[in-house]
Amino acid sequence: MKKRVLLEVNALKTTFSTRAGPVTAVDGVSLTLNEGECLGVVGESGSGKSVTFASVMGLVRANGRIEEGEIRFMGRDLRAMSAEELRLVRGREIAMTMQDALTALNPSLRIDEQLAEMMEAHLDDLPVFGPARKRAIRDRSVEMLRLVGIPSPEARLQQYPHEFSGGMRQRIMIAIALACRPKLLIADEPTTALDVTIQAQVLDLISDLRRELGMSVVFITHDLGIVAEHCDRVMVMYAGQVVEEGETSEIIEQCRHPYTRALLASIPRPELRGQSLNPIPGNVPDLRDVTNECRFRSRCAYAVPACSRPVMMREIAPGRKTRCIRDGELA
Amino acid sequence: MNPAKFFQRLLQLAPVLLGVSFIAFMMLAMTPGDPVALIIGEHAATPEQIETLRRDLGLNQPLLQRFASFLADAVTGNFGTSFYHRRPVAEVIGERLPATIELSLVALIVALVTSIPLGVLAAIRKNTIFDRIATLFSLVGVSMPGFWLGILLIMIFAVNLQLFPVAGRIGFSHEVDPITGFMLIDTLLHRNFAAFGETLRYIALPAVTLGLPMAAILMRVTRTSMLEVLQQDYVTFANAKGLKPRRIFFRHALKNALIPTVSVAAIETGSLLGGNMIVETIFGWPGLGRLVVESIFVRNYPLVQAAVLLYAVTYVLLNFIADILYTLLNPRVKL
Repeated sequence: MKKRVLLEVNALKTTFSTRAGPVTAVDGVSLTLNEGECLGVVGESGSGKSVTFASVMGLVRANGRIEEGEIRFMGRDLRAMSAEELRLVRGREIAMTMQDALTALNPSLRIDEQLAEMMEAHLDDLPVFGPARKRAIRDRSVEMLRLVGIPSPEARLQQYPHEFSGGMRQRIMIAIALACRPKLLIADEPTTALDVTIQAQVLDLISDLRRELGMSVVFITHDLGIVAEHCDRVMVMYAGQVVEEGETSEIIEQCRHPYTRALLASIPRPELRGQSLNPIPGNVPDLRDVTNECRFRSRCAYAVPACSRPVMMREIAPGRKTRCIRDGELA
Repeated sequence: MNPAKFFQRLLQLAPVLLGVSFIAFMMLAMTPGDPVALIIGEHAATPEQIETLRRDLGLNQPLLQRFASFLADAVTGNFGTSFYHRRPVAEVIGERLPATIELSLVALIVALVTSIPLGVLAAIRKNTIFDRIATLFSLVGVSMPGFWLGILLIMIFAVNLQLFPVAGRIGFSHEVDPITGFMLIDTLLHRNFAAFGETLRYIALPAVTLGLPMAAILMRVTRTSMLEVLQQDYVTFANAKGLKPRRIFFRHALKNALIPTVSVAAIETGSLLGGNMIVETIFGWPGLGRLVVESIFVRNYPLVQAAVLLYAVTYVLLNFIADILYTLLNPRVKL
């Protein structure tokens, strides 16, 4: 079955103006996401993974702007859209969940209102007004809470966010995001704020809903474990650029970039118990003074003099890309 | 809030009021100047007459005994007789109170309608020229003494431009029978719209003088909290949900941003009472503030004592209201 392309980003460049000068947080990112597919976007803090998808949704903070690049969703150019057109895409077709549901849900509004306003803003198959409309919205709200596994949803709709546990809040945020049955869900660090036991539940929930609703999912995370278990494809980002891309199994078993290798090596494993962990030495470079050379060079165990030249993303097999000149030796 | 907590809070009022009454009483007693001498005048009084008057006023008793009988009477709602007016204190205060409440409320409205929009705009247009001007305005507003601002406004708008009257509550050309004591309401009840407009012109300058410092404070509070709220994840999430900008602004941002503003406004309303004394004196406003100032000059002990008690009750109640409003607006907080 040939999959249709849902989201296509080409050479995206997003820059923030700061007191210390402009910072290019996303520098030439390209990606393709098919319908029904699950993409994992991996990288350290500051790698540009969140900003990439904030750019897609048109939610870059006030001091940042998209300098260049193309963003197409179902063939439509999102960058060419007016604010109002883009608003109708957000929530309706591309939904997002945030890292911490405690701060993402409005503390002074009840859950029913936070769900209802989402449907009010987008759904046009509701009764136009009056009690019928209210009832329809309420029924859907109950249905959504049930879908994400909130017990006694009727009663809990009346509550405020602080009256729920962390895992339940995350579920509610997912319910809100999915209330209009979007085609794409961007889950930004969906488990970082959660206990380990709850993490698995929330991830399984998202994966189940993905199958059930037939949507695409982007997991933004720094946890390769999540990616290995839930994603079809992986995109590894470093210092505002994509450094490696491919099928999940290929990336995990045969990575072709030293950064990915270092990330994989830094995961604690039970069989290596007692040994010290393998952190990546050094820090992510300051994006204000990156040069043309390979951005990972200063921390790379495989660096050679040739790495001081610009390194481009190369396709080494269909759908398989890397940004390393020594990828052959890594295999 | 449950009723038990509510009454507990009310009970906490008692020690505060007792303390305030006692301090006010002692300060008055220690102030030089003899009310008897001030009432009778310097001359034409025999020592017997003076002694009789002193006994009539109850000033011959020991200090603590006077305080005790004041308290005992106050509890029953009897605040004694005004030395000066020869009428019950409660009656005299009751006549003047509406004017002061009316002025304070209008000042509060002035403060709210200027500070909230300005504060919100300053936050949205952070670091622009508008923000700087608003900041300057609030700095001036906070630091300008009320008596000076009042005189300045009179000079510019009443004397030079003649847009507003200099002083008073309403011109002699209008006769309004009091119903509620609130001139703005009474004129409307009488359907006397000319008098209503006149009353507005009279109240404008004192209300601005009284409201401006409060507006300055509230503007800063609103700006700061709006800036904070706009950075919150729930505003980003509301945007990600594709809500209409109006809804994000009013329902998500403003509602949360106004929580501190409302609390501060309720507490600051208490401080309007202090400002009243100065503003009412400058603008010849026939309210409680001016009455208290006059009463201090003539050592009218019972009236000052009762007024201080009233101020204290109002202040504590406003704090109480601030707490309640805070709870109502902020579901995470329980009293």
